[in-house]
Amino acid sequence: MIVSGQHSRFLELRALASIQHMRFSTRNRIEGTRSGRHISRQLGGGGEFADYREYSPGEDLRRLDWRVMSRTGRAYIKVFQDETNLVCMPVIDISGSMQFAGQTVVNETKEGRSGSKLEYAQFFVTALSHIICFGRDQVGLGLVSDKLTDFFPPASTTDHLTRLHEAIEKIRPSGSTRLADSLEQLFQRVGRRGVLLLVSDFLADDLDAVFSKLRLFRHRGWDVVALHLVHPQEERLPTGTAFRFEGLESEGSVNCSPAEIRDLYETNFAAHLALVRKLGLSAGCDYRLVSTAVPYLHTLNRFLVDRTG
Amino acid sequence: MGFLYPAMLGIAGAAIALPLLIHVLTRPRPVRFPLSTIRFVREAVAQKKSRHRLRDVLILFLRMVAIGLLGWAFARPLFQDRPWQDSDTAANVRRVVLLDTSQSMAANLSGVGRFELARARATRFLKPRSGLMANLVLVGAQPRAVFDRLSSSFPVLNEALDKSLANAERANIQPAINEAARLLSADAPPDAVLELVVISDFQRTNWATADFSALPAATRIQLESVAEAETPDNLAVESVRFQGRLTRGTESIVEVVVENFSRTARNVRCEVTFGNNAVTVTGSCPPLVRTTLTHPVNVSDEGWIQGVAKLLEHSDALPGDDACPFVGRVQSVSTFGIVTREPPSRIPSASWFIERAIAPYTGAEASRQPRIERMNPSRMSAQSVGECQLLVLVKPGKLEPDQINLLASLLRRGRAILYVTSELVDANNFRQLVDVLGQELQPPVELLPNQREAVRNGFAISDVQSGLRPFSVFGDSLAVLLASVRISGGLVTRRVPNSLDDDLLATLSDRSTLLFVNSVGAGNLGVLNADLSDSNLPRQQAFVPLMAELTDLLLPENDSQATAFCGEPLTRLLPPEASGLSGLSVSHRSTDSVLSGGDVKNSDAGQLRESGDGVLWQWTEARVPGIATIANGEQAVFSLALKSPPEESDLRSLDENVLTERLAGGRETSFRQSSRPMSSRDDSWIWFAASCVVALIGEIVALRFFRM
Repeated sequence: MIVSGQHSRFLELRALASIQHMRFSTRNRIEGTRSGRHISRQLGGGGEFADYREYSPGEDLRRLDWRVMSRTGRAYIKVFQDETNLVCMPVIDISGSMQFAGQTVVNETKEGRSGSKLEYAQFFVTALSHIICFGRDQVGLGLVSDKLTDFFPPASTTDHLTRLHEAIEKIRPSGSTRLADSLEQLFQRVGRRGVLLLVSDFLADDLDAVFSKLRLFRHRGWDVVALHLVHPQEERLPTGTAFRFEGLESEGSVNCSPAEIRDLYETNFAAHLALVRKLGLSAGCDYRLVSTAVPYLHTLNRFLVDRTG
Repeated sequence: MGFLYPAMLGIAGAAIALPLLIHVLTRPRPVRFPLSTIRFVREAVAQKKSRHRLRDVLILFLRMVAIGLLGWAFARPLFQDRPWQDSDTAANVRRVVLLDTSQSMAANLSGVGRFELARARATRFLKPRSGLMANLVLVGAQPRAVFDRLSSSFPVLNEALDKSLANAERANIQPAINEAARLLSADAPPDAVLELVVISDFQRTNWATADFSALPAATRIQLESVAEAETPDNLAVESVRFQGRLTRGTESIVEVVVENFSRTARNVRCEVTFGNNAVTVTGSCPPLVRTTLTHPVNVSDEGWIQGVAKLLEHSDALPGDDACPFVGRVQSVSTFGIVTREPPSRIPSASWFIERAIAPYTGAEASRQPRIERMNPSRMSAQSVGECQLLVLVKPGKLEPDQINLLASLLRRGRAILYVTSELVDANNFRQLVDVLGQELQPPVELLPNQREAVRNGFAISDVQSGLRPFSVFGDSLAVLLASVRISGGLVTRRVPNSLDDDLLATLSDRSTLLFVNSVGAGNLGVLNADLSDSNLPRQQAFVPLMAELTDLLLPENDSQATAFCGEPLTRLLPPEASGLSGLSVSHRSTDSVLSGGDVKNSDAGQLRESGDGVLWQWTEARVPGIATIANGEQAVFSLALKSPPEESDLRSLDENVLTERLAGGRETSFRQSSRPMSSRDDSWIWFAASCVVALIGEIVALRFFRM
């Protein structure tokens, strides 16, 4: 695949060289727009032989196995598995909470915070979309916060990919997390079955609603992957005497000493992680907890390996 | 309560605010930290909020308490060490100082006497200053104020204070408080601060009934105790007496009553000296008990004897009560008079039975028995009956008023009378005697003229006070002895309402009284209501011992009138031997003088004056223990031992709380115990410092607890 010289700052081609031969696949049968490498939900005649079936009047005589008929005198139709391309719809949570970058990385630029969860998601989705298009599959993009702020239908062209990368690069975190509404809007926009990759920190008030919306996608036949991003400093409060913790989604501030609430905070956060995992699995999602401390390429590599099976 | 460094309290007060100030000033400036998971922080803070608030309040409180206690410790509190009078700066102060001068204040322990301590303490309250008017009242048996009203003549007050001494007398508290109330109430300006300062050992026996409510309501009372923290040991010779009557040449028993106010038993030796005799009595005295030590003595001298009982080889807190003076009267042979109309030749007769019962012996043994003088009532005069210790009236007939008055006078002056009543005139005589004696004679029964004389015959003795003299001498055989007794004659009697049952000794079967005894003045009156010539009582074997016991019961004790307490007003009617003022002199010897055998006499021992009943001796204030003697020429006609009150020997003090709460009558009262050692008074700062450390440890524990 040929890419333009002015590529996104999140696209590290040199780093991706080692894994771009890998293919993003799914174990489920999918619906594509054209022939591809992925098993289609359709059985057709242009694919891999799958089975014999007795001929019924009206069927296409071109699929009749004449040799079997000559030997047995009975008419059988050869059935072939159709193969189609994969449609992937990455959805990035661009709410305020995603810009959390911890205490150590405070290099704040106009593009965003270095080391934030959002930046991690940007690298990840940029690389994944590159790999998907490299495998001649279609990739779209959804950006959600308190609503569906941007939507790119799936496509596999270079221009489309460039537009996606530009859109990812220009993401500015805003608003609060209202994933349920955003996913509902997205559900109304997408048509064919594919893979929905939701990259979020799931710091939302209405987790049940979020996963009920994801359940809609599952009912439509989508393969849903929930990528739960967690920053290491979210798991453990910083050390120090007194902090004024300020919410990233207009949640006000709290003055306290982390030492006094550390244990309780960690317990609550662990309970939150467990809840998201439980809801995700119960909704039939492929739930993955990802720490931003792990390099995104490593995460992507493992993700692709697991998906390839 | 005062403070050695009161300024430290102010510093401590300011320092209490220090934790708050430090908390505000050193409050950490929070680091701004954008956090995506602030909801979990908020949840955790909300869950721990109440716990943290409790912790913060507790820690702050403990820190403030610790600092406050530390400041208090540095201020060195002195509990009850400084009376409020020292710091009083009121413009008008009216102050009365009551100084206890009783015998117990002479107690001396480890070289420091209570009274010296009290005098030094009183000096502090009698320092002259502007606006202060004071008075000093010496508290003894009678209160003695230096001035009749409050004064600013402090030199005179201090001079009187310097001259004051502890006397051998009790502290009569209530009159002193009443005197202080009078002084404070008189001429006090409305804005004046009224103060009463009491310096005493607050002896339990004196102060238990004190009542400060007589003082003006606004009076502030300062109680200054000079008593020791622990009651000192003390032994006292309370009294000396002889058993029975002292008769020359006969053996008697001297009884020395010793009271041990110590906490342990003590072996005592007591030397009893009188006349040319000296005996030593020994014995063991249990703690807090009165013990009677006895020793047989034989006196050969006749007349009044004077002596002293003194503890030997002994030292205690109060030496003043280690010696006790005593007197006694030794008689040669008693003389009994029988006043009757019956001729001595009539045998048998009632008077003859009486005479034979009183003097039953003949021959050589007759010298041991009383001498009997029979006399006709018409010859009865003061001279004729003057030597008779006992007068028996048997059928005397009608007595003249002069004779009735003579009998009354004899009774008042210590003579004994036995009236055998059997005739109608006896009822009249007795009624006249009762009228003359008035309240002094309160007989249990009234003798009524017998209207049915012939009917009174053959009555048995129904009720007898078997446990009392004269019947107690018969013991268990009394019922047998009296069973066959039949009484005839006598008068009908009627009980006087509210009379004493104990005076009624025997009752007949018709509920009339057979025998009763009454004390009158210094003498005793007995009434035997029977006609002895018609009764079979004289023929019973119990009659002679019964009459002996009865006459002995009626005769006054030899020293019952011969003891008085120092400090108390003294009034005595002299015995009939002192028939007139001419030739009589009164003198007084102190106990030490009696002990040393010296001849130091103090003629200032009261006054003698004539009264209707005889010679009266009056002494308003006997201060020094010893023996007072009234002599007719060289012949002592009366002696009296002056002792310190026995209650002064009990050195136990009243509890502080009783004084300040129960007896204070709602007045503002403060109490100071001067005997508390300085170390214990100043030790309180250590406790405050220790409490401060405890508060700090409590803070650490609280921090650790809330960190869990």
